[in-house]
Formats: sequence, structure tokens, C-alpha cells
Amino acid sequence: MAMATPAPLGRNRNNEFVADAAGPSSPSQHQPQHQLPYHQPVPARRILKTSKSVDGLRRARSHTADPTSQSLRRDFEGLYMNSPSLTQTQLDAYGGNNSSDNYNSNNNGHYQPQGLTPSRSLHRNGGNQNGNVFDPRGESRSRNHSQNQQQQDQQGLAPSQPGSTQSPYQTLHVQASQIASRSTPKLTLFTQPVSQSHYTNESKETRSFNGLPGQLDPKPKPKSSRLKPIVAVEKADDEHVERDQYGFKKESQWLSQHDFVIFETYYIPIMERRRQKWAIFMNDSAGELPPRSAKLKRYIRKGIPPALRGEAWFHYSGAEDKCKANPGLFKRLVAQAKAKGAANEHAEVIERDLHRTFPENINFKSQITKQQDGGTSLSTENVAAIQSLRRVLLAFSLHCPTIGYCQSLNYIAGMLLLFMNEEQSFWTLSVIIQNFLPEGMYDVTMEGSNIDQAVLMTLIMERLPSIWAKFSGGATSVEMDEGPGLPTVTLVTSHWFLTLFINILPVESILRVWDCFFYEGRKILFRVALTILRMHESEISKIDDPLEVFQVVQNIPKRLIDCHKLMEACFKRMGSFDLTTKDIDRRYDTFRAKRKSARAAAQASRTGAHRDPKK
Amino acid sequence: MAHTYDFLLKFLITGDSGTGKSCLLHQFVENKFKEGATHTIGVEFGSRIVTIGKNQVKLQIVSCDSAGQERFRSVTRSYYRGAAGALLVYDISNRNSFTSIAKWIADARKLAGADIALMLVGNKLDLEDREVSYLEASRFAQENEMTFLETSALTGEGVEETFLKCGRAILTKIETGQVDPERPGSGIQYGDSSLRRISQKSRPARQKSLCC
Repeated sequence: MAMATPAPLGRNRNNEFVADAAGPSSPSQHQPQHQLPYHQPVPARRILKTSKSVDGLRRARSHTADPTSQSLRRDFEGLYMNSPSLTQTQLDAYGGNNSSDNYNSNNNGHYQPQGLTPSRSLHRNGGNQNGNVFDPRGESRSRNHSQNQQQQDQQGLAPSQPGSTQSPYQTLHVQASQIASRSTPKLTLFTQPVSQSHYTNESKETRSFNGLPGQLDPKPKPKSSRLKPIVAVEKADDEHVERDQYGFKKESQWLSQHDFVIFETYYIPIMERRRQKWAIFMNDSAGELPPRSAKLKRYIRKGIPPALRGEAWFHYSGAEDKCKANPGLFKRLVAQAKAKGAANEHAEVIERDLHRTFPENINFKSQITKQQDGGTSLSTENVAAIQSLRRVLLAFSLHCPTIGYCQSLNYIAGMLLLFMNEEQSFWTLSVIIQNFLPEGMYDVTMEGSNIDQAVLMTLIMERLPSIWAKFSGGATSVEMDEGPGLPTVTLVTSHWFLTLFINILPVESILRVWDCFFYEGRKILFRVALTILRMHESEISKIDDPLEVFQVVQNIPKRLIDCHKLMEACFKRMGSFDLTTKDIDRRYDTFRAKRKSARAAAQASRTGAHRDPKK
Repeated sequence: MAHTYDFLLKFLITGDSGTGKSCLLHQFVENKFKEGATHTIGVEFGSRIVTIGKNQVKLQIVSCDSAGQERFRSVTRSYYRGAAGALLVYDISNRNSFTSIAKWIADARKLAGADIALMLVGNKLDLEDREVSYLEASRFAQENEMTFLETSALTGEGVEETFLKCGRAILTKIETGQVDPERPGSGIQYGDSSLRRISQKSRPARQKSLCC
């Protein structure tokens, strides 16, 4: 499907990656925006980026779709309905029924600095003529339109709505402007720092959970009725919530809107640079994910572009091989689970946790459903992501009966589902638990988790003695059985490992950690944990109250929004360079052996005591 | 961070999964409702200094969530040791969470000692579909020698009172000599050595370690 590559952006098919922002004209369109201090007037694109959050997911997921995942993908369509995107039919008409094409075509009109267009999609699509360039004035609309038309003609695809004169591109533009208008009040947040009242009003309003936000706001809320058709399910109180591209709320108890703006102004250009570098890198390996190499490791440590993440995780973790080796297994497990129903002992626990998995994420959020009596209720029944999560967890509980289901698997699976389809998530989850993490991490005894904590504590004792002094309460060695057992702080740090830092670090930081985790393995968790503590060494050493320490350790990671700094500290400045998987495994085995013999001894003394009275 | 206080009391919040333990903690410490609460894995720490009588008391609270999964209980169990008081939380709109309170009482008494001050807390008072009546719960609390209160972590109703009441109960136990703050694992610490002298005077000779 050779395209008449348009002159304006100067692309050609053999130069795929230049097709995007790396081109001669696009950077000039992107860069100035990056360099804007947060308080200067922000172009409309900026707002679009945030409003478009879910779309990043769509692209990430859809382009990895394989033929078997078509139906799975359909299950996921509900995920997209909150994004101001097109209907499936429109999408199909738009770039062909290949999901990879959706991937590209959906770029248009949205500023997505993090996005990466893998070349394999470009090959199919003949280049991304439209790029990522948002055109607020709509000057390129007709051009885009005609290109789109051309594309459709050449692919012999009729528009899905014969009667409709509106092209999907137009739809996008219309929607984009609607979003822009919806977001305008938010814009004032950044453009008018002088007007503090705006900020306070805004933030009060965002924070109050059941207050009367309307009274705080002098201006009426811009509720556009035109928005209704786009947002399939109306989400209450969501108009003023800023979300990241993965659908998580940006603001939290620990991080303000302001923190995000500061972070993004500096991180977005970095991501953009990484994206371009990856694009060139991928080009060298014919658009496929590059084979393992020192260069790749370096690239991964600096962050995988969000659009590639799902695919990269799936591939480098080894889940892809496992999936290929067991074709159809996931589907069979899902069917089995369905047949088993409530007879599956884990079904009930899973069910209870479904609605508590990322309740703030737009994809997992409960929906307001109208009841027969006219009332409304919040339910998760029709939320596509939750249904996917249920299938993945149920399938896993059958696949790995020694674990069944353990809390925190829901978070891992939930996070994976934001980047991949169900089957891929299932296999990646399996690989994490069966290959990456030690045996018994999540089983009934949680022995693996305890031993891991003992290993972590030894590392802290050796490498961060000032922090160990605060954790240990005077102990000079890590003992799991005798005396006081593991330091109380392990109650906090075990959570770090169980959820792979979900609910601990801010989202972007989690993803950066996961990038490395999937490539380098479990040692990354230790490295990151040590780095987090090292970064706050002075803060922790200052505390005298031993109980206060736990609270501080619990809270410090939640503020680590600067994932770049965290990862740099992790790989450059830390003294944990020599932390190898071998070393960790050795320590792990030592503890396990100790534990085994201690248990055996306890058993022997118990049976001995049992016998004595008989005698 | 160096606030002065006279006593430090270790509290535990426990109860069935989804009864709003973290929210109670959050409401008490931050005076805010914790929105979009995810379930706790392991424990959550929080602390606040309050005035009870003439004393500045620091409450060190741990919300323990074995989250309905037995395998997590071994993780949180260690924290039971050394708690001075425990709030056992159930959800007034969920009968099952109330029935399992008996199990939580047994757990707390077994692991923390018979002296632990127990409070029964019926949370989610803001919900309309109540399944456990006030009368029934208060009778149950009486039978088990617990103080009983209903709260709403959402609106904050009763939250402050619950923690203060529990703190007061522990202080009374110290004054009457029922609890020995110097016993390791009592969950009580002095914040100030001068106070130690005063309370030592008022305390009868210590042969009170009944629990051990």
C-alpha cells in the first residue's frame, strides 16, 4: 500500500522514523512547547495531551494485537469509550481493519510526545503522514482529510458510514476542540499564576469529596452537552480531574498538580528524546524489538517509550515465548474457570478485590448505572477492564493452583492490562510469578516474601548502616526465627516487592522500574528499594522515634515523582552496582536453608515433647 | 518533627476486609476522607498527638489488613504484639463483617495479651442500608467488655471520639495499675522522663504482670 507521501513533512517510506516528530519541521512545532515554563500560556495541544490519556493505551495495546487476540481486543473496546476517540467502525474505515493501522491513524490531532510509532506499523501504513502535529486552527484539516480519503481509496475500503460526510479526521478535530473547550478552565491554572484564587478554588474543588464545589467556583462549570455522545458513560465529578496518559489521577495526597507540571515540563522533552532514539534504534533492527545487548540494556534503563511498553515487556520478559509454547491455553483456562464458577475457591476473593483495583483509574472506575426504580448505583459490572481482570486472575488461579490468588496479583495484572491484551497480560503475570520472583512469594505461607525481606534487610545492614541502625533496634544480624524476628519495617517494605512498587511509587516511576525489571530481573527490585532508602538517608537518620521511622519509610516513595532522577540514582550513583542476581540468589538460599533447618528442629522438639508424656 | 508528648500509645486497627480501616486511620490523622481507597496490603502507619485530660498523648496507629486472606495474617501478626489498644472495625451495612468480630477479638486477646483495650467500631454510618443494629452491637460489646461506637470515616462522625475514648481507656488502665507501661510489649511508652516519676508514684508496686 504505497502512499503518495506528502511533501509537507518530507517523508519517504524508507525513512520511516523521520516521519514523526523527528522530522525537520515537527521538532520546531514541539520543542518550544516543551521549554515553556509552566506558568506561561500553554498552547492548546498541551491540554489535549492530558485529555487524551486513554488513547495512549489504545495505541499501545492495539498495535500488539495478534490474530487470536481480535476477540480479546473487542472485549477491551469498552476501555476506550472514555477517550474522545472514534467508534470501531470509524476506526476500521479509517486506516483499514488492521489494528496496527488504528494505531497510527489515531495519532492525528493529538499531541502525544511520549508516543512512538513503531516502524512495523509504518510499513503497513506507508508512513504516518499526519504525524503528531496538532493543528489547532485546522489548517491542515483538509489536507489530512484528503490524505485519509486517498488512503481509504487505495485500500479499497469504503467508509463505514456511507451517508456520513464527516470524515473520522473531522470527528477527531471536532472532538479535540470540544475537549479543549472543556479544559479551558484548567488552562487558567497555568496561564494566570497571578490569579491565585483560581488555583485555590480549583484545588479545593478537586479535593473536596462531598463538599459543595459549585459554591466555591465563581464561574459556572463548563458543562458542554456536546460532550455527551463521546463520553459513553458519564463519570461524575470528573471534569476537573487531571489524569495521566494511563488514566490515573495525577493529583494525590502526596503530589500536587503543581508537582506534576514541574515534572512534566522537564520530563516530556526527555521522553521525546528517548522516543526518537528508540525510533532510530528500532530502525536498525528492521522495526522489530532489538535483540538483547548492552546498548539495549542502557536504552531500557533510560525508559521504554510508553507506546512500546506492552510489547517490550511481553517480549523481553519471556512471556511471548511461553505464550507461543502454549497456544490456546489461556482461552481454555478462561473457559474452565467459567465452567467452574463459584466452585473455584478463589473466585470469591478475586471478586471482592476487583472493584478495589485502581478504583481511581478511569479504566477501572465503577460506572454509574441506572436502576429500574430510577435510582443510580455505582457498579463495576460493565467495566471492560474489570471483566478482563477477572478473566486473567481466574485463569491464573487455575494455571497456578499452589498460589491460586493472592492479593497484590490484582494490581500487577491490572497494570499489565493497561498495556497489553488479556492473553499477554496473563502470560506476563505467569512469567513474573513463576520465573522472575522466587518460589513461594505469594503462596499460602508467603515464605518467599519473608525470605526476600530478610535478604533486603541484610543488604541494608551491609550497605546502609545508618538506616539499618534505625530499622534494627540494635540488632546486629538479620534473624528470621530467633529473637524479635524480622524488623517491623519489613511490614512496609514487603509491600514494595509484593506489588512490584504499585501503590508505592507514582505511576511513571513504577513503569520505569518495570522496564528494567522485565529485562534484568528481580535484582532491580532490591536495587530500587535500596536507592529509595539511600535517597532519603538523611531524612531517615534524623528520626529518633523508632516508630516514626516506619511511617516515614511508608510515605517517602509516594513522593518520588521524578522517575528519571530515581533511575539515574539507581544505576549511577548508588553503591549497589555489584548487586547481581547471583548474589541475591545466594543470600536467598542461605536464608531458606536456615529456615528449613529451624523448622525441622522445631518439629523435632515438638514431636519429642509429644512423646515424653507417653513415656 | 520533635513534638513533645507524655505518652505514646500503640494502637491497632483491624477487622474484615473492606470495612474502612485505612479510611478511619486517614480520617483521624489527616482529617480527610481517603478517596478511591485501594485495599491495604500489609500495614499502614499513622500517628497524631492528642490531648487526653492533662496529657499530651501520641497515638501511633497501625492499620493491619490481612485483607481476608489467611496468608497475610502471618505478616501482620507480629504487630499485634505490643499494641496497647485495638479498634475492631465492622461495616454496619455488612452483616458478615460483624459476625467475624468474634474471631478478631480472640485474635487480639491471644496475640496482644488480655490487657489490650478493645473497642468495637461500627463504620460506614453514612450508609443507609444498615444490617447491624446499634442495639445488637452495643449488647455484643457489653458482653465482651468492649467500648462501642459507630463512626463514619466519610463524614468524620465519631472518628475522633473513638480514638480519644480508646486512649482514655488505656490511660485509666495505667492509672489504676491494671497495665504496666514498663512491661515490654505493653504498647505504651513514656515520652518524657519527668512524667515517668509522677506516674510511678501513683502506681502501686509492680507485681501486676498478670498477663505473662
